[in-house]
Parts: sequence; C-alpha cells; structure tokens
Amino acid sequence: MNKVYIHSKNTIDKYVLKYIYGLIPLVLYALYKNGIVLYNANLINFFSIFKVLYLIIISLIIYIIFNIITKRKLKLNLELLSILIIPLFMPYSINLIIYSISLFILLFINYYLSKILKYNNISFIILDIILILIIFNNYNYLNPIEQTNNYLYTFLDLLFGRNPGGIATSSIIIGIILIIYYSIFTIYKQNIAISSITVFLLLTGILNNFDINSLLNSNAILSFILIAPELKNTPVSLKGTIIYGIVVGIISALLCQFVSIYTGAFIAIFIVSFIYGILHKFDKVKHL
Amino acid sequence: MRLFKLDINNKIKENLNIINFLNPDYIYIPYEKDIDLTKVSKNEPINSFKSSISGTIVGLKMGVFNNEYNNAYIIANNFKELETKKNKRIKISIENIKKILLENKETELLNKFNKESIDNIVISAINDEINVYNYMYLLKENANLYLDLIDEIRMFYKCTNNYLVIKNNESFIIDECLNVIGTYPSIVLTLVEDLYLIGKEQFLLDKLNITGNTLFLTIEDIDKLCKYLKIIDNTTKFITISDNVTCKIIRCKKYTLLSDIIEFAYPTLKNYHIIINGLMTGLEIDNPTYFILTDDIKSIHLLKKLPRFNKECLNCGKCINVCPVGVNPINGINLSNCLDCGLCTFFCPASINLREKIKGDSNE
Repeated sequence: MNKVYIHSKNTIDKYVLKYIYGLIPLVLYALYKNGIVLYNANLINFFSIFKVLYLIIISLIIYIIFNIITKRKLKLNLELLSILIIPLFMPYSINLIIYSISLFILLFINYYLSKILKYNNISFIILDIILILIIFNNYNYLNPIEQTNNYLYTFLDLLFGRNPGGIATSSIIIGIILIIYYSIFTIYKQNIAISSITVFLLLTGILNNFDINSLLNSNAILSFILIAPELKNTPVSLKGTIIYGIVVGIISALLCQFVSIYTGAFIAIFIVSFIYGILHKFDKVKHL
Repeated sequence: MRLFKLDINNKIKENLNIINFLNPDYIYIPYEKDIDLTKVSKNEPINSFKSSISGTIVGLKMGVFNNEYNNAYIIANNFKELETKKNKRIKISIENIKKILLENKETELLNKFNKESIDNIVISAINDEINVYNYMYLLKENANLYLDLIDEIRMFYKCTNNYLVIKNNESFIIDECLNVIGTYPSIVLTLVEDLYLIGKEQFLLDKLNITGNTLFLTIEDIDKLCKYLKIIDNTTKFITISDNVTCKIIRCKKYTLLSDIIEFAYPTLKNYHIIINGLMTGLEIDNPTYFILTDDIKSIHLLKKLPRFNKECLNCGKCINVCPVGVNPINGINLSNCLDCGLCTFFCPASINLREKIKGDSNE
C-alpha cells in the first residue's frame, strides 16, 4: 500500500480560515463606507450601519438550515466560503427579506443543478439574486448618499472605493492586497485573477478611451479576485488558468460595456465557467 | 525545479545520544540451505550472511527479509561476542573496492566506481525522510574513518572538487565535522538548506551547481565500504525509532527482531501503527515479530493514528505546483517521471492519497 503517513499542517479548513481572514478588511471598509458615513450624513439609523453584517449572518444561518435539511455536516469548506462571499457583492439597497428567501431557494436549486452541470456557483447565485431584485424593483447599486448626489470621482477615490459598488466590494486597493495575501498564504489561482484584470483593463481602456470611471470598475475587479479564481470549475495548469482569465476578462469587458457595469463580470464568469464545465466533461484525459 | 521545506505540525525532538541495544536474546539469519553448525561465532558466515552475535542455533522461524517471507535460523545469544579470528583490514584501493563490491553484489554502488574519470566527489550526509537521522549519527560516530576513506578515494581519482554535504540546521554535526575536517584540506564541508528531497543526487548536484563526471555517494555508501573493507564493525546497524513525541537513535545488532527493538526503545507504548522506512515513502507493517532488521530497514515510526484519506479533489492544483519533476496527478501527465516521493499526497489540502493513485495509474 503506497501511503504517506504524515500530512502538511495546511489542510483545507486552515486555508478556508485564511480566506475568511482576507475578507475582514472588505467588511470593515463596508461598515465605514456603507455604514458610518451614511449614519453621519443622517441618511440611515444606527442599526443600518451594520447591514453588511446582517447579510453575512443571514447567509450563515440559511446555510446552516440548508445543511440540516440536506443532512450534511457543517464544515469549513469552499462552500461555506462561497456563502460568505455572496453577501459582499450585494447592492446596498437590497431588502433583507428578499435576500433571505431568494438565497434559501437558490441554495437548493444550485445544490441539485450543480450535480448535473458544472459552473461557478457564486456567480450563479449572485446573478439569480440580482434577477429577483430586478423583478421586485429592488435593484440599485447606489447607496443613499450616492443616490442624492452626483460625484466626480478622482483616480484615488475609485482606487480606494468611494465609488458605487457592491456593499463590500468597492475598494480595489484592498482587492489588490488580497491577491498578494491569498497568493502567499492560501491555495489561490492568482493567474486567473491577474490575467482577467489585465485583459479587462486593457480592453475597457481601448473601448472607453481609458476613462478611469469605466476602467476602475470595482465590482468587476473584485469579482475577478474573489469569484473567478474559484477552485472547482477552473483549470489547474498554468496555461489553462491564464487562458481562462483572459477569456473572462474579454467577455467581462464587453458585457460591462453593453449590458451592465455592475453585473457584466458576474455574467462573464458564469458563462466561461459553464462552457469550461461542458468542455471539461467531455475531454478524454484521466481525472481523479 | 523547486524544493520545499515540509511544514509538519509537531516536529519531534531527537535524543542526541546513541542508545545501544547490542545484547538481543536471539537473532534471525535468513535460511538459504542446510548448514552443519550448532554453535556460531560472531562474524561467522552462515551461507551468504554473517552472524552478528556468538551463540547457538536453536531452530527455524518464519521471518520477513527485504519484504519477503522466508525461514530463518534462530541463534540464541551467549552474550560472549566470541570471534573465531580477528578480521584484518583490506588495503584501500579502487581495485579492492570494486572487488569487494562485486563480491557483495553491490552492483549499483559498483557502477559508480566504474567511471573512467571523475571530476567531483560529493558525499551526502542528508537524510531526506522526516525524523530520520541515521546518516547524521553515522557521521558523528565515524567522521574520522569516513573522511580518511573519502580522502583515499580522492587521491586515487586525483579529484580536486570534493564536498561533504550536510544540512545547515543540524548544528551538532556541523561542530563535529568542523573539528575533524581541518585535517582534510581537500574536502570542503558544504551546508545546504533543509529541504525535502535535497539529498537526492539530481537535486543536490543541481543545487550545488556541480557539473561534469561526479562520484555521488551517501554516508551510507561510505559506511558500507568501511564495513566491507573491515575498517569498522559490520555486525551493528543504526536505526531511528520514533513515536509521536520523541525520537531515538539506536545501535542494534543486525538481524534482530523489530519487535525486540520496539520493546527496548518504547517498553510502555501500546496501541500504535508501525511504519518502517519513513513517514513519506514508508510502509505500514502489521506484525513486527516477523520483521528482521536487515540493511534495508532504516527507521521505525510508531504512530498513534494514521492520516485519513478523502476522495473528493478540490481541483486546486497544489499537487502539480509542488511536484519537483512536473507530474500532473489530476490529468495523469508525466506519470512515468514520478519519484514516488509522496509530496503530492503530503501537500494535498483535500487529503487525497495521490501517491497510491499515481502508482495505480502508472501500472495500468
């Protein structure tokens, strides 16, 4: 029997924990930008400061209930990580009840659908929630202060995340730090993130005459960092990850141009992962 | 090519003193054909083996030698260490070395000496396996004798680049070597980083940027030569034995039962799994009362529990990134290059037994 009788101390639960630690700065920035700032401007009450936390807690509770119903053990795994990433990309205006019900239903749909088809689960759930929000007329990526004023954002504003975006995904600078942190301390397909961001910036720049408002699209860039390099439905080889990232970048740039600046990247990631899943299903090499 | 330091949870502490277990009640010599002996002396040939003790042949027992079941002569120790005649040292020369290697069927080692010209001599005292320290302690014990032999070999080949390589974190052996290496100015003491697989010839030569015809020997090879040349006693052997907390280096008589060694080293330990020859590439054995200490057994690890293996791959690519020879266990690429080093399984965050999977796939 060929075995190895010792194992690295870095197991999947430790990696997932490190991933979660990486999300903390995003949540803290969300508490500042979509909490304290709004509260100081008398646009929200005290309890609304913590909206991002409510979304995360709701996601966790729903995930626990989902696990109980499907009779699965609650573990520190990639699925739990996805559940923590989803609320970060939600629009500020999201209704908590709509979010809770739609997430609960979507977890089941995703659970059964992912047994048949391979795709990026996070982008699938986010897109569906956005679709539900549109149906219920609750879709708006601007927070109250952004709705009442028109700002001319500087390069630094866009880089540090003072612009509209997901509730916790407006700071590109934190995203860049996350790539470095994840590349060093966790199992992370940084080639996908880097190649998709590079191609996205290049193509968007060409299409928009290098207008910084289109270039520094925080929702798209953060989704390249947190959603696109998902482990399960992406290639593993160096070439494969780079090509995957390039394709995601190209399609995202086009969709952000012609569909929506906030959701274009989610759609692109979903499409590419779906196509990759189909190709992967039919290739003839041996798999574990 | 990138080598890794293994990040293990509990690096156990080794006992710096060598413990002697030189008085086993019985030893077991592999049976080849009937012999006409009842009493044996130390170093007396019994077919192609030599007894490591003096005593009386009391019967036959089933044993495992080199992973194969075979009958063995049971020799009861009389604890007198009687030798028929004192062995004379064989004169060191390349011809004699080749001759004794041929006599002892050491073809692999013999091939190393059959090169026409040698530009470099590299002696590795690096044990790659986790918590195995045999080479280090062999060098500690016999540094002078080994260096003498290396110096003689160097002179025969008129070789100017000679390296004795040890790990840079093994401080006490560095001290030991520094004390004696001054007498051999042609041999350079070289320290390398403690990385897994650095002791393998291809990786060590690459790390040291050594090119040309190289005679690569391990300290174990030098020890074998010293034993065959009768420079040192050939009846004993070092073995590393460890549990979850401590690690002991034991000098044992050859052909002792593994169960006797385990009982001597850890008399109170109960309910454990026995792994021989390292935690990365070793083998679990069920019954140590059958296993006999031969040259191929280097270490015994006693584990309270074994790691669990899963089946679901995360598709993270960690196994591909850590493989030093570019094997892709996920897609089954370059399987023939596999060194069977166990790195992919060690690092797999999903705890999949890739080593077994690769072996299975390459055998198909």
